[in-house]
Amino acid sequence: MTRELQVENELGIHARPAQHIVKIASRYKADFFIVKDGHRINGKSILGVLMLAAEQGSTVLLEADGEGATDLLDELEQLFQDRFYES
Amino acid sequence: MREIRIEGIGVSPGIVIGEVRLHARRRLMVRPRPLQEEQIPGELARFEQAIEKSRKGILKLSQMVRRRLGSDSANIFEAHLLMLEDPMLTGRAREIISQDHMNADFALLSAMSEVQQAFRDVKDDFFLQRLVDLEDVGRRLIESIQSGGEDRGGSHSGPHILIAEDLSPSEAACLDTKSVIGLVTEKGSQTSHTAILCRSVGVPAVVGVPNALEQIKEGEVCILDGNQGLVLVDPDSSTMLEYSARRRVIAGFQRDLDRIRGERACTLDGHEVELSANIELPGELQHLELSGANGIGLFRSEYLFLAADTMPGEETQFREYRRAARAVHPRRLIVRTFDLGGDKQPGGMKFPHEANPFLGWRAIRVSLDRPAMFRTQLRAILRASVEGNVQLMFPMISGVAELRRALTELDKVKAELDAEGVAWNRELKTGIMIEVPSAVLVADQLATMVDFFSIGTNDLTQYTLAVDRNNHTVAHLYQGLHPAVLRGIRMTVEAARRAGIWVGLCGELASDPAALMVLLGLGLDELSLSPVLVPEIKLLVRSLRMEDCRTFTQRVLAMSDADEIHAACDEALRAQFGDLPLWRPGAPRGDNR
Repeated sequence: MTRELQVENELGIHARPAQHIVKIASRYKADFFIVKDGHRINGKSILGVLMLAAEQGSTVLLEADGEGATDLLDELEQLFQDRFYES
Repeated sequence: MREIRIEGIGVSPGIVIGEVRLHARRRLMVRPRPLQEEQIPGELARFEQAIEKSRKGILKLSQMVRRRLGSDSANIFEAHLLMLEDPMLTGRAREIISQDHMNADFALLSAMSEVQQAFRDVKDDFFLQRLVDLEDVGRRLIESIQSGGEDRGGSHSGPHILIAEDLSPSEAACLDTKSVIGLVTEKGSQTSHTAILCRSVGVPAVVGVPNALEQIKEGEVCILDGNQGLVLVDPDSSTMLEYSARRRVIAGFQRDLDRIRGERACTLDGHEVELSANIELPGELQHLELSGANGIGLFRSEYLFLAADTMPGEETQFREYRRAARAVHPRRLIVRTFDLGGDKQPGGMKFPHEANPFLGWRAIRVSLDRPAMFRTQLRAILRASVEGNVQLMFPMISGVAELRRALTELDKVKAELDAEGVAWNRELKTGIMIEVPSAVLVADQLATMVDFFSIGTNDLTQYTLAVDRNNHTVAHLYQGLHPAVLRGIRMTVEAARRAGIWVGLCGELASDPAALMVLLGLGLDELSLSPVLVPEIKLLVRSLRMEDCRTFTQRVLAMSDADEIHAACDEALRAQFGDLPLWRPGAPRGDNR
């Protein structure tokens, strides 16, 4: 299953938001990928997430498959909505 | 014996003798080594062991940085720890070991270069900076693998003098002061952050030593004289004897300083000047009591997160300001709002590329353009102000309109807190830094709007004389006692007097013994300086007469030549205190004391 989300915090997905994403994703068994501008990366890899260079205003597609996939996507949607706890 | 004398700029006092380590990064040698099927499990186990060792090393470094700089600065190591578990890095390396039958260090290097290749498409500098972290983690892992699971850790070398080309503020912050007893760098200046940092932690340092990395070899014995800006490589026995004697004189002097620690900084004829501390690291607070400083005259708030990855939130800032306020209570804590930009650019923020960063987007300009960030900081300071001793200061104010904008923001935040029912100190005093020549020229107008001035002589000097203090070609034109700078200080003091507010000085000039008579003579109420230098300056203040300082200052203000003024000040210092082993910032080379 997939979900499309927008990056709203000022600095985009830099190191700290990437840490939040990877830490959440690693708690789930489901396979997890993020797609942006034709690049598809393993969402449990901090290097991969950083490589997307997702800036403020950009849109990313989250793909999760397997055990807990829905919960994972819900949790991440909340994280995006909370702007990764930043401004 | 091949004693070599190398001259530089002494930026942090003290004399140390020790072995040299070069801060040149060792080149990694990784060779591909195909493995037999039966060797694979052993190689994988070796790899896991190296990851475990690296994890311990990163945790150790992270704790050290947290202790010294606060938890926000340590955050980047969280990312390093995640990289150790990254499927694209260590995960991929495991694949290469087990499927391609290659050795662990080669497998890791291959995985690293795959990631680097993938990052090639990233155009944004901001994200590219993370490659530095990848290289750091990768290097740590490879070194662990090759050393059979030993991690280089934060430190496992004995006491030594470190020789480096230059250190970034965050590298300097990570210096292990237990093993680094002295520092020599090729680049840097009196006011560079490395210099300020070394002084704050009491590590003797000499900077601006050309070709230091070529002239000095790993393992050689050196005498580092931070007082005179000298490095003596492979000293002969007579030099060693001379320096042992000099260290004993310094030790005796140290006892004199210890005796007056709790005393006030009063001249012989009864004029008191406040000596307070410039603080830039949370860890420095614990040494403050020892320095005998009267409160904190300049709390450089930007250092809370200069090495960090993101801006600290309101709660984090609030806790840090409150901690500092409680540490010096009931003496005052002056928090200066963020002075970002110029050469201070934190990792988590984007700065435009500017041809002249020092004339560009920095300090109060950044704060006014980032109202959310500015208000968060003002809220944190105001909330901490209930401690009663907190004061607020804006940096780089250049005129009335700019100050008005800052004060308007402050009023808005106060109203906001009132609406929320959050307490703040109604008596909160607000001041500004005077460090831009335009502010000096309108100081009379600014003085009616604030409670105090603090003159930042480092920037005031470089802006008044149009000299970039970090540019070696013109650095000699940077003269802290230039007549134009002294006039600027005098104008500011006079404007403050007429408005009935106090005026201090918080630049490096405050810690220069030769400038002391002039600064007292000009009528400054407060001098704020590196805490380790407070005892020395206090001792001098207590042996001077204000009347003599005023007479001397009149004589100096009549001079038109900066060199003449410097010579007169040096002469006066020698006449008064010739026999004391004083530290002089950027002392003229070969100066005999």
